[in-house]
Amino acid sequence: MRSIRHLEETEGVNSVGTLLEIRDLKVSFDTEEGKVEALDGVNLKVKEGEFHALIGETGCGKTVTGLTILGLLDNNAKIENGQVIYKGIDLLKLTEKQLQQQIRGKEITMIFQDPSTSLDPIFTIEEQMLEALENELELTKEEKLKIITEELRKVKLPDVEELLKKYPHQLSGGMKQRVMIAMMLSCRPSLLIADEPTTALDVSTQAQFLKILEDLKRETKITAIYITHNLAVVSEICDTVSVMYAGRIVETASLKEIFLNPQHPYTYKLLHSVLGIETDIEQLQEIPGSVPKLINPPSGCRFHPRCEEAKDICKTKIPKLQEISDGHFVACHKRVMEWTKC
Amino acid sequence: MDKVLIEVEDLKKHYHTSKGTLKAVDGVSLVIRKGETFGLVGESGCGKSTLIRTILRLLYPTSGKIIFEGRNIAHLHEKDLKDLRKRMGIVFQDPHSSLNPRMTIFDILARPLKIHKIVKNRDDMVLRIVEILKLMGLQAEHMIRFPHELSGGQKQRVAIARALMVEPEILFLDEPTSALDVSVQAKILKLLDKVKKQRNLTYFYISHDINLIRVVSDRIAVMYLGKIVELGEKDLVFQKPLHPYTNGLFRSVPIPDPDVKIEKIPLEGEVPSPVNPPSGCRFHPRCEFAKSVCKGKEPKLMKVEDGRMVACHLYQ
Amino acid sequence: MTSEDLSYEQLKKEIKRLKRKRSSQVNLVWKRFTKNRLALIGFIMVSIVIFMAIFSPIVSPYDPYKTNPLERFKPPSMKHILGTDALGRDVFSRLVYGSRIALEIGALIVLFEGMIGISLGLISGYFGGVVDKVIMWLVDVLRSFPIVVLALAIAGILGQGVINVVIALGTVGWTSYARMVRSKVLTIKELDYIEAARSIGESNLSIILRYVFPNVLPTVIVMVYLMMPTALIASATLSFLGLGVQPPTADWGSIIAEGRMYLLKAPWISTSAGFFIMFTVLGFNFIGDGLRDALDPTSRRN
Repeated sequence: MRSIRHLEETEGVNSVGTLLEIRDLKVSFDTEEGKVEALDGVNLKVKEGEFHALIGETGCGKTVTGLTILGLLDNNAKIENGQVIYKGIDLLKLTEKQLQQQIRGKEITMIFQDPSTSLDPIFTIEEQMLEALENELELTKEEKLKIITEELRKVKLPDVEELLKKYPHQLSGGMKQRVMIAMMLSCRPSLLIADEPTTALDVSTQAQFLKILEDLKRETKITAIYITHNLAVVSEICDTVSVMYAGRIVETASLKEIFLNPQHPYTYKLLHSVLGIETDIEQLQEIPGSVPKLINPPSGCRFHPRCEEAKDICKTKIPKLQEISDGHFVACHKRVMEWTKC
Repeated sequence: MDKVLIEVEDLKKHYHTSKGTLKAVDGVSLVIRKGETFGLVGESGCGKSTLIRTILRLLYPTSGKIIFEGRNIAHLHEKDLKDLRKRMGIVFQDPHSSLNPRMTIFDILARPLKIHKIVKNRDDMVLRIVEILKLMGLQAEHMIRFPHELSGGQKQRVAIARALMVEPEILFLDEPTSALDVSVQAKILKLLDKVKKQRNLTYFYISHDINLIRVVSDRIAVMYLGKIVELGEKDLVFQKPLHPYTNGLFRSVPIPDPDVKIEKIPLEGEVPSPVNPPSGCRFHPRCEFAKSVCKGKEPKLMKVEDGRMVACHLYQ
Repeated sequence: MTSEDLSYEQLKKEIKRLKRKRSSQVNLVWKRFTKNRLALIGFIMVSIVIFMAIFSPIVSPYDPYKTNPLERFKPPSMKHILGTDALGRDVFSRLVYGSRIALEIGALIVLFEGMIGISLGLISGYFGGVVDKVIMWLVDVLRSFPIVVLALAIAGILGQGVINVVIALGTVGWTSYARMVRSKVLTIKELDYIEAARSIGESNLSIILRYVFPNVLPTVIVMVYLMMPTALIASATLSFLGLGVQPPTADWGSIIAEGRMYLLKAPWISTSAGFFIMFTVLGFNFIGDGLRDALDPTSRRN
C-alpha cells in the first residue's frame, strides 16, 4: 500500500487488507427544529480492492458518511465521536489544509449524483482536468495532457482531442459523468466515493457507465464506496454491501449473502420491496410506518417500531453490529440470539 | 375489458425552437381499453411526458385525433375542457412540487369539488375529504396540514386523492414513484392497485423504470424519439422483445440478482436530439441490424405474428 | 376518526386548529427575523420613525410652523437640540412632523405602484406571448429614462402637491414590481402544481389568484420594504427640487432645500434632515433584507 507523504501514521496500521475503517462515528446537525442525530455509531470496514455498497433510503445517513470521510460536511454539522482511519491515519484529526493538499483528489475522490454541478461551466474540459492535476508539480503540461487523454480513452469517450476543447454544457449527462470519472482517475486515488452516480442517467447510459466502472475495477484495482438506494445497480458491480437505517449500519455482508441470506428484518423487507425481485404487486413487501425523524429517534434499535419481530429488549438496548458468520455482520438482538443458541 | 376508452390517431406535438422544429411527439397512434393498465416506457426526452399531457389536453396538439368516449377532443376549445377535466386525472412524478405549498391539504382536496360543484354543502365536502383521506391511508387530521409538513409518500397520497376527488375514468400516472424511496414505492403501488380495483379505473403509467412498468402493466408500449417502436401484451413483449431498441433497453436494466450481470454494453451511443432526428428509422444509427432501407425509409408500426405491433424493417 | 362521527362542530374545531397552525408559521418567520441582528435594528429604527410620525405633537418640543425672528440660525443647544432655521423655527420639531409626510407619501407611492406593478407582472408572466411583450416593452421604455427625470417631467405637467408626487413616482416605480413579479411568476409557472391545477379544471383567474399570487407574496412583501426607501428618497428629491410638497409644510426634502442656502452658516439644517432620511431608509432596508432571509432561508445559503 502506497503511504501518504508528509503525514504521520497516527492510529497504527489498519488490520491487514483494510483500506478504510470507520469506528463508532457519530455526527449531528444543528437545525432550526433541533439537533439531528444523522449518524449514530457507524462502523464500517472497506477492504482494499473491493466495491463496498452503502445502501439505504433517503435520510439514512449514507451521503453524510461519504462527506464525513472527506471532511466536506456543512458548518452546522458536528462530529461528536469516532475515527475514520485511512492508511493508518485518522482523517478526522487532519486540518482542512492537510485534507486539501494530501487527501482530497489525491487519495480519496468523490463523484456526485449530478455531474453538471461538479463541473465548472465556464472552463473547458481540458482546463478543468489540468486543474485537477495542479498539485502534481513534477509533471510538465505535456505529460499531464498525456495522462488526461489516456484516462478519457479509458472511460471510452470518443474523439478525445475534440472533447477537451468543449465546455460542460456541450456534453450529455452520461458523458459528463464519464469525464468526472476520468478526472478522478487522473489523480490516481486509492479510494473512490461514488454518491448515486447513475441516478440522473437513463438506463442505457447507466448500463454503459456501469460497464466502465467494472472495467476500471478489474484493471486498476481501485477501491470504491458506492452509495446508492438502487439494489439492482449494487448487484451489478459491488462485492460487499452495508445496509444503513436511520443513521446506523444494520447489516454488512458479501453481495450474495445479502441477497440470498438477509438477516436483519429491515434488509429483508427492503429487498422484497424492490421491483424486479418481486414481479407481482401482490408480493411486494410493505414496511409498516415510515422512516423516523432523527431529531427524536426511537430508543434502542431504531427499527423496532416498524419491526414485526420486535421484542422488549429492542426498545431499550441498542443492538451491536456482530459477526454471525464469516464476514456477515448484523445488528439485531433477535438474530444474534438465535445465532448464539445454535 | 375490450371496450375502447381512448383512441389516439397519428398524434403530433411539435415545438418551434431556435434550432428548428422539435418533434416531441411525432405521429403516435394507440388505443387504451377500459379497465386496463397501459404502460409506456422510454428514456428521458423520448416524448412520453409530452404525449400524456397532449392526450390530457394540457397541451394543444399540432395535429392528430384524440377520441375519448366517442368524441374527438384534440382541438376542443379551452373553455370546453372543463367537463373533460372531470373525466381524466393525472398524478405527477414529484409530489414536492405538485402540491401548492400555500394551501392546506383540505383546500387542495376541496378545490376539485368546488370547481365542478360536486357537493351540496360544506359538511358534505368535509365528509368526502375525510373519506378519501382514509382510503389513501391518511388520517382526517392531515387535512389541516400544509404539504411541507408531510413526508414524500404522504404527499403523493394527497396528489392521488386530488386526482380521484372528481371520480375520473382514467388516471395518468407520470412516474408516480420515482421520487420516492423503494419501500414507499411499494406502498404507493399497492395503494394504486387497490383503488383501481375498487373504482374500476383505467391506468396509463409512463416511466423510465422498466421494472415498474413490468410489474404494473397489462399492455405496454416502448417509445423512442417521439415514436412508438413496439406495443403489445406485457408478457409477450418482455419474453421476446422484437424491436432492437426494446431488446437493448430491456437488457440494459440491472437485475437485482447477484448472479445475473449485464452482458456487454446493450445499447451503444446516446439518444440523438429530437430537433434533428436521424432519417428513416430513428434508431438506425444505434442499431446493430441496420440495413440500407432503415436509413431511407421510416418503418410503420405494423401488426406482427402474435398481435403485437412493431415499427421495424426487420419484420416488414 | 371515521367519516360518520365528524360533525359540523368538529369541523369548526379543526378549522380553529388550522388557524393556530398558520400563526405558528408566522411565528417561525418572526423567530428567524429576530435572530438576525441587523433586521432587528432596522425594525427598531423604523418603529422610532413611525412613533415620531404618530405622536408628532407630543415628541416635538415646539410648534414646527412658529417663526421666531429672535432665534434665527441658532446652532444645536439644549434649548433646540438640532438648532433653528432661517425663520427661527425648531429644526427637530420640523423633522419630526416631516416624518409624517414622508411615511404618508412613501406608503401611498408603494401602494399605488405596487398595485399596478403586481397586477401587470402577474398578467405578463402568466399569459406570456403578446401581452407579455407589450407590458415588458412599456417597462423598458419607462426604465430607459432616469427615474427622477421622468418623475420630474410628470410632476411638471401635473403640477405640485402630494397626490401628484404619488402619481408621478408611481408611474415610474411600478416597473420594478412588474419585473420582479414577472420573473417570479415565470419560475412558478413551470412548477407541477400549476399544471396540476389545470388538470383539475381551474380557470386562469383562479390559478393566478390561488396558486401564483400566494407564492409570489413573500417576494412582494420583501419588495415593499426595499422599495419604500426609493420612494422616500424620490419624494424628498422632488420636494428638494420644488416640485413636491410645498413650504411651509415640514417635509424632509424641502427642509434640505431651505437649508442648502445657508449650508455654510447653518449646516445643521440640511445635515440633520439628511440624517433623518438616511436613518429611515436604512431601517427599511435592514427590515427588507431580514425579511427576505426569514421568508426564504435557502436564498442566502445559495
